[in-house]
Amino acid sequence: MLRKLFKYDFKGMGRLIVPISLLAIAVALAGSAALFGMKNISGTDIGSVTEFALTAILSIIVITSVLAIVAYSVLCFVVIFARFYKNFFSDEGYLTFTLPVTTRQLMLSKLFASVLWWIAAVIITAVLAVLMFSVSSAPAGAFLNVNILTDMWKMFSPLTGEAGVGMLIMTAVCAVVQWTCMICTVFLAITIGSTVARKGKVIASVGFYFAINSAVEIVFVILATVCGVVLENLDAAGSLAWLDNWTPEGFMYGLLGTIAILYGVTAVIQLVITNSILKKRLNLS
Amino acid sequence: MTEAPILECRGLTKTYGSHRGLEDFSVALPAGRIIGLLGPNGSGKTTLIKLCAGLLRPTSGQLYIDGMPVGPDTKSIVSYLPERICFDVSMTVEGVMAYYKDFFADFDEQRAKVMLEKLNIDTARKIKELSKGTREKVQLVLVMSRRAKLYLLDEPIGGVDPATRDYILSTIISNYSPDSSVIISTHLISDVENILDEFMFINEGKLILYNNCDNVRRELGKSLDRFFREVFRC
Repeated sequence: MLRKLFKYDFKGMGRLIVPISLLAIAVALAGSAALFGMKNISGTDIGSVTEFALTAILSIIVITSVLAIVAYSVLCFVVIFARFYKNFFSDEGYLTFTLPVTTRQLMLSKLFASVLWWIAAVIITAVLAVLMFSVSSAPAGAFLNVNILTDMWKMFSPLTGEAGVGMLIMTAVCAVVQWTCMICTVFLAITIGSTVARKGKVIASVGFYFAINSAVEIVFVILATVCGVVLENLDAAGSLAWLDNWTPEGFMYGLLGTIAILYGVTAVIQLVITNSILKKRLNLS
Repeated sequence: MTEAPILECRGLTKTYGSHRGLEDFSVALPAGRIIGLLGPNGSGKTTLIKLCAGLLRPTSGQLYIDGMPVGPDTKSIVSYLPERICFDVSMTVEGVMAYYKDFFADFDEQRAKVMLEKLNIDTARKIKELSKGTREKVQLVLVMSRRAKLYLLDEPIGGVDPATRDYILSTIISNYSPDSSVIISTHLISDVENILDEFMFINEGKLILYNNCDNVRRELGKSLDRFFREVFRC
């Protein structure tokens, strides 16, 4: 049943995200072309007034396309959570919660579909940003800076050290876990907001999102403080001598791993609470 | 050995804050009947149906459907028609049929197709492109195309024109199998009384009366509609 639920959730989100993505790609391509035009317009003999007018139009297109790329990821975010809200707490909930499946299956299906679409949206946003960056940094006369990825790698490599690709993969894993946690936070906020509030469920959900986020941050700060005190004591007792052998890469792996575990555990706790509310406190009005 | 009742409530109570939607409601309904859940507006009919469908959680008491507590197992044998359209309106009628087929093992696709064809509904159209009345018909067709053990129909004839009302009632009659049970919640008694075997009168969340329709006609010499008006006279 989980596979069937996932199929419908993935397709349902895709019905909106795919057209939005295509539109974002089209706008980014237009923006790239405008950027190329802007870079090459000076020096042509079209007259200063025409050049000024053309530059102004092309600038508007470039600015619009940059804004569209930013808006694209925000829209994908909205689509993902609107589907969760609609499917569970609007009229569609009358069908969703009468399916012969468990609330855990319903939630996991939404989570998997949301994470996958969010990863796709982030990748598309990154590719479009790199494309525009590549056009803007292209040498005179060329459309693209074909060395953009090599240049970017040179920029990031001091951070990754000798670990290179391995560190990038670890960073990507850490990012996916963090996104999953963020999605779980929104799911929990919507669930509490829609269960508690009789009216203004969306506003209540937004309020609960900030409240949950703040609570999680406070817990993280307390944890970090406790860990700091413990490590200081261990260091004073000479129990951390083995850390001296750690390379910077090893330290980075350890840090990213810890972050991933922390966010992973937080995501699981939030999922368990969301499931418990849906199971025991569901009251569709 | 007696068969387990299709629906059994034991001291079922549902409160919304200080308001009691259902209070100490106990009843055991046998299988194979069409039962009217009758009461004035706000009497607790929808609350009872939603509890049976698993959309509300009881505050206290027990609720069993075919001997099982409400959960995924009961949802696979209960076909529920809500008061409102519950489909993703961006889906096509065909898409919604596929959805029902995927999730409900008892969904009879052929039966649904025949009924939709009779209604001249183009299954390639999106739900949002259909009129309100047509959406309601599609929903009824899909709900009645399941070979469920229990049908829960919440106000199926409320707010529709008389011709549609006739269509809905004939669809219910012609599609439910004799060993299934149908619970119809309504306050439009005269329209449904001819198809009912039994009825429950419910008011302020409490069961007032559960009886056989023939008993009322035979012993009191009254139609169910007239009896209802007398019981619930303001």
